[in-house]
Amino acid sequence: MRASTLLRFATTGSRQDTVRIVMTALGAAIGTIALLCALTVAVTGAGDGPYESNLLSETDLHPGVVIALALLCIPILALVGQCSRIGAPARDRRLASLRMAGASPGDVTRVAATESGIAAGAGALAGLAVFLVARRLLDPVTPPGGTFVRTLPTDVLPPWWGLLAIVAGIPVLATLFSALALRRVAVTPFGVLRAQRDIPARIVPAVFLMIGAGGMAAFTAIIELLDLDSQPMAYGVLIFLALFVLAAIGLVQGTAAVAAVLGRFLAPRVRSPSLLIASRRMIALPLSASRTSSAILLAVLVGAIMQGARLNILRTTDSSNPFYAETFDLIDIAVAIAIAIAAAGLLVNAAEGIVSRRRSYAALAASGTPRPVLARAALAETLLPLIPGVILAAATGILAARGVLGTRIESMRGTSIEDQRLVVEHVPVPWTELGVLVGGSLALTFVTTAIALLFLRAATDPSELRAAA
Amino acid sequence: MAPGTFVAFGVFFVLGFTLHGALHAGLSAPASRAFRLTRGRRLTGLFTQCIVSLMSTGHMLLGLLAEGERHGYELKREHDARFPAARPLAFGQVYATLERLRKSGLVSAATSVKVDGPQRTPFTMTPAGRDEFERWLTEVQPPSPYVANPLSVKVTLALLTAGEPLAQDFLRRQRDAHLGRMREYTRLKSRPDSSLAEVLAADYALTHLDADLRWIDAALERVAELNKELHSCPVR
Amino acid sequence: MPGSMTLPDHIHSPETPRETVLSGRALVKDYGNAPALRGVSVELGRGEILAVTGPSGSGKSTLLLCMAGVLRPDAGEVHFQGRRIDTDSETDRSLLRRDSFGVLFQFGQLITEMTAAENVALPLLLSGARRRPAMMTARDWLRRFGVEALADQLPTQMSGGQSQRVAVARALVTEPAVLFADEPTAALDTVAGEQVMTELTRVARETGTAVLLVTHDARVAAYGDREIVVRDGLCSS
Repeated sequence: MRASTLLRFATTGSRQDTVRIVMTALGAAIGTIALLCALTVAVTGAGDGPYESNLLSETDLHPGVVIALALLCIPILALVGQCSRIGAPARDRRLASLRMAGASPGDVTRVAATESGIAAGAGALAGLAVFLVARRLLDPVTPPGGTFVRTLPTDVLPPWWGLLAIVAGIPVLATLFSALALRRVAVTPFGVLRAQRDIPARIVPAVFLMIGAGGMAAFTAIIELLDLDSQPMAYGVLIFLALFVLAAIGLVQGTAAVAAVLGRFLAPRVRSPSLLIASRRMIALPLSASRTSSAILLAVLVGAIMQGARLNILRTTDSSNPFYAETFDLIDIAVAIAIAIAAAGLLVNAAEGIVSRRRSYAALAASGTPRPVLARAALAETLLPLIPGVILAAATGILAARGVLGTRIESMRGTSIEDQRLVVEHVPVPWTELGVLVGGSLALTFVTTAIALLFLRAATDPSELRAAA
Repeated sequence: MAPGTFVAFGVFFVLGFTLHGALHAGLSAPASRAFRLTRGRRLTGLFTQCIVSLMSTGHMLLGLLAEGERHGYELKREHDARFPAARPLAFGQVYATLERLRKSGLVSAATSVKVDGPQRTPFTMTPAGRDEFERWLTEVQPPSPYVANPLSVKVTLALLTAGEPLAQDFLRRQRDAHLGRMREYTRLKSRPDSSLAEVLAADYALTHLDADLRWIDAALERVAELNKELHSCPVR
Repeated sequence: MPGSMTLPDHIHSPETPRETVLSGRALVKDYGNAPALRGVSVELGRGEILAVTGPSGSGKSTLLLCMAGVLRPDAGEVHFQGRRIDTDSETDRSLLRRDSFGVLFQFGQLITEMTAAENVALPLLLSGARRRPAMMTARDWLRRFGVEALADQLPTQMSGGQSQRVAVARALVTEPAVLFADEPTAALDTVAGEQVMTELTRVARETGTAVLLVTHDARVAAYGDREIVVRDGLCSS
């Protein structure tokens, strides 16, 4: 296929496809800016500054800030991922038609990857441009002589290779993600065209989750086993990251399996029509449940880890120093922002789900289903698979934190320097905070789905009966 | 049964049998007559001929006279050109029908004129004739279901005498023959140089053959049940 | 008794034997709840139009999809031009669909966001042709089917019969060895359907393309040279 043909295929599309491209670019831009900020803070050294905030001045605190900023990127990337699913059913059908006309699996993957790659690339470049311009604009004019205390590290520019890595990395990630998402179209195009049901994997996600969660819970034991105490911290960090990724994948994929199982369990037993519709939908489209919930689950997972870490670290360190408390407050804020971004992604997804299923909604409405029933069905469909997922994510997170940092703290306490005694404290489980995390994310999901349901009125208009399902 | 009903039944049976026999002519009986095909007469559909004979030749001639006066020879030529699927009209029939129409007051004969040799009598439609023609044209043809289906007669007899396998075998072979004929008509219809009249005639044949085919398919599904029924309830 | 009827000789189909271009042997396909094919064998000669009929649900569409390489049969073999194709990879089978096979369904195969000409040019573009020559060829083919006026219109702006003719043009644009048509006229009215079938058979004979035509309508099956009946996953006649 020639490049011009590839471009033509990639840019063919309706309004929904344009929205998708724009949103992907936007998400990539936001992600780029966030990562560039994180990188800037990370490279701010002792020679720069001075800065107002302690967080920036003291280089030991940088890892905390960097982590917080990097955490924000996970939901942003998830948002970009969800944006790339806007209008996906129509796009998948189009690509499946291409496959039936003779395009190979590689061909269609290249088409979709080109679209996301170009969109994300444009977004990343735009983000870089915004970052550089903002740096220049936010940099206050230095008065001659004397030291000037800055609020933001606008005098620091990350090294060029760092900039390149981010600006090139985000499009690459977006491309990989879209190639992965197209697996089904690439392999079984006829299944897509004839809307054959997909059965989500049940064993693999469960295994992933168990290995990841179990590994993190027994982290210290693993470290001892592999005798990595003496090695630099990087090895431990890598292992932790690998386990974290496994657990995350297991959670996200597992939601699809949970949706299917729940749907099959509920469908023959419920009486209320909205639950019946919801459970049938869960059986028919389990994968949409995992797409919707991925960002929220990740945010809850990270949030739970942070809650556990917070308790532990606050006990270990000197309680008079407010720094650690401040850092954790900052991280809490970051997690809250992350959940908010995840909710935005959910809003995008829910609205897109309603719009792309408008023919079946319109058919249901036309045959007499009252709109409140449809609304309740949509809410149930989104929330029911999410509840076990969120609880599992919180549990995994807290287990991970306790596994890595330990459940017992030994410290020397005493009134005077001579009279020091070994005190062993058990770190409690922060039930309240976890409850707030779980309940808050579920409540936010509810609210965003309800907002997305505002589209339902338009979607159930009888003229939508002629739209593509 | 009243004798009148019996006669009517018989007439319908004969007509129906003739029509269907015409449609399936040549499929079971060996070729007894072959028609020479000349330009403009590619289809010698005896079915159409039968239909033409079902309707009155008189009405058809009246219609041809609606355009203006004609003499007998012109009428025959025009008939053959406009209805290529029908059997060519014989002169005797033309003149006999014209005479019948004249006696009924539907056409009038003008004085003979000598044209290129033989005497030719031009005929014109009278006002009464025009009325009659228009009445006939707007009259709806009552669709008559054929009371006797020769195919089902064969199937019933096959089941009674030889059993299911023979009946099914007959139905399958009949189906093949039907489809083969449908193929021929389809090919004819698809030719770019077929006239509209030929296409219409082929359409008619195809529709009827398709109807028979559907009946054959249904019969194949039901032949087992029919067999049971035939052998369980004795004939009164 | 009425006599027989004779049509001109060239109306009868030629009885010359053809070499087999596509064959399926003892094909079995099971979808889980019921076996769709239980051992069907089919041979398609070069340039031959074969009608596959049977009641709905009998497995005719499954047979077509297995022969076209869209579905992999659970048992049996499919050979094309002497080579076995059912064991090919998905990439190889899609290459076959691009160059040697054309597929035509009841509906839903045109890309609704592209014009008719672009749709017809699709297989050519996928093979790496340049845009301008591909579009010119596409327009020629649309002309061949009498729909060149629709070249710059979207499929949603056409009637069913028109979009099916565009779909036939796309299926035949690469002059494939075999065209697979699955109930191509089922969604059309009689006249539109006849138009599609007449054009399809005419051009297929011109290009020497063999046609595997699945239909439940005897009048459509009558466009073929030969017929096989599939009933309950098995072949009769």
